[in-house]
Amino acid sequence: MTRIVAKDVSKFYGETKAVYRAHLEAKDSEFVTILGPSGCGKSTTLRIIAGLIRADEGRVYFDDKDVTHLPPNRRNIGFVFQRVALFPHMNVRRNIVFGLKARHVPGREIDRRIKEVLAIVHMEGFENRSPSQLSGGQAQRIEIARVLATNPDVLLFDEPLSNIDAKLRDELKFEIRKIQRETGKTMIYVTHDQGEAFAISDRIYVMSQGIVEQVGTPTELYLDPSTPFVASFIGQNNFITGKLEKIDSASGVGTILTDGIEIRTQIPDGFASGDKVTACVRPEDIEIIPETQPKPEEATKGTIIESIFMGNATRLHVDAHGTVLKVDLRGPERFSYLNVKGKEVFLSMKKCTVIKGHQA
Amino acid sequence: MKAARAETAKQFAFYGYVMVISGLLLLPFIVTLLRSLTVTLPDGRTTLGFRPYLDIIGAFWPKVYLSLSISITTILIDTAIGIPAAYALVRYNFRGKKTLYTLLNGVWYVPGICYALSLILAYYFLYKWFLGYWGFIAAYTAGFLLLMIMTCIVAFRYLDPCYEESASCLGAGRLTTFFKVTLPLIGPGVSAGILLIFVLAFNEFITALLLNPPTRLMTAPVRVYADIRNYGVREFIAAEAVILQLISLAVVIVYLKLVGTKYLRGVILV
Repeated sequence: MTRIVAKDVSKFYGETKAVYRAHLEAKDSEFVTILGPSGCGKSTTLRIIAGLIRADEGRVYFDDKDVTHLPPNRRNIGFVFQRVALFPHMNVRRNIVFGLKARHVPGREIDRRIKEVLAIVHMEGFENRSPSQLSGGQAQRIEIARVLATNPDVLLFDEPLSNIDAKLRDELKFEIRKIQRETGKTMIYVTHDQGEAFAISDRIYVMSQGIVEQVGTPTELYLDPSTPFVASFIGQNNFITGKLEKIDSASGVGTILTDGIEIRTQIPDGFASGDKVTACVRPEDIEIIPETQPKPEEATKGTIIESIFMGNATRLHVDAHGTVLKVDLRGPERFSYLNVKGKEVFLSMKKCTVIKGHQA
Repeated sequence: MKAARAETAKQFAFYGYVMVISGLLLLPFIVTLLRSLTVTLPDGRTTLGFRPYLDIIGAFWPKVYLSLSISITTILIDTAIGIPAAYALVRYNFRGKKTLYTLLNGVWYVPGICYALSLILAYYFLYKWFLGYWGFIAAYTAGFLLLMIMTCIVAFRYLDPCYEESASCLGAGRLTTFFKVTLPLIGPGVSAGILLIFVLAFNEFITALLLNPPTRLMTAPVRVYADIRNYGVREFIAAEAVILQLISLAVVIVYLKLVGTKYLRGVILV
């Protein structure tokens, strides 16, 4: 339908760089999410794309059309706000009609559209309710219906579920995904909730402090974070800082050395011996080597200092030469590590991601 | 037993105090009302009756209509000017905004007579050209505009910008958004300004008194004053005063019934 490009957009508030040279693209019918902690500039970026905020630098294109200076009402967008923005002085029907009239939809088509969009969001029969008679979830469904009724080229959602309770949020996020799939509209969705972003997005832009840190599919971001921020923001991680020693040029395997911990792993291109690096190891990627098995040379020795049973996993805190590592046991062995404080174990890192620099 | 008695005594003292204060506040109104209902019989005895209301000199009523007309015209013009001005003040940032707010607040501390004099001096040219009514309106419009702007500023600050933003995203232009979304939502706030201007303009005295000679227009409050000067404090004058009070009171009551107290916070006790 429509390709969205935000080309190197920036927004400054005095000295603060709310958004700095953010480059964002959403292809036809793609579901793109901007993910980041509060204050990272994700909502500002979305509002720049919508035309609610003027960018100080950069341009916005819908397909090949430069919309940078167009007001929101001339961009044919659908925007769903974090707070419910249904007009409180109009009932549901009149709220939807407002958008249809603004887009000059002929009168005879109005009733058909209202029926159609209320069916999409499962809110048939609510035409005459006033917004104050709707629950948070219902109001947000009507908001989505109001936006869909105007048949926008692109859908922009700004944390639409953050004021809705957990169970309903879970349900609605998949519905939003389904609506996006069925209508085939290009969508940019803003959230601070990683689970939400992973569940529904084709691609995710991770933002922090006004800049785009990394772009990728959920699996790419999880398995291969490219910056310390992404590594710490997405999922749980152990950060082991150290120095890169001897890279085997044939196999690409290098050794990261730090106090008492030695990690052998595949080193990506662009690294050299002596670089300061951070090895990111997810808790589920650390294994305890059974006592009966031989210990490899690089196995890390540590002492269990804490064991927390979480139901589907047992989280161990293991002190390895001063570095406390989080280790998740998922299999049946999780039950045999419930009261094991002080026990010595040998750990092996199954997988790790290497990032330049030291994670603070 | 002793404690209970002490408690009762405390309550009595408290209620007594409240009654005394209420009495002090209401006394002038009650006395005026009683005076307006006092009829002196030929033998010198007095009784209660509506006679003073019938004695009101016929010329009083046109002054009431004039006061109503001036108040309503002032309101219409102030609303038309005040809403856009308040909108601009709230939604747009510009240099000197804070200074402007301070100046606006400061206007309230100018003594009434000085403010009235300034208005008269400023709009003197209008009295010469229009011979009265519109000069009067000019002075009143300028004098009460601030009240409208202040109440509208409060109303706009209460209004979440997301309604206007969502209207714009739905495809509505600025005018449609303003008339269909913004105005209905700030309506009650605007009405608070209208109410305040009505009550104050309808009863305004100082400017009206100073404007009386050049414009040859006499508003109802000035008429009450003139009657006191001419006839002394008589029963029919008390009746005139009561009528003016009742008109203001009726407008306030109708407003409170229709809109409620939400937009009068800080102006009246609720």
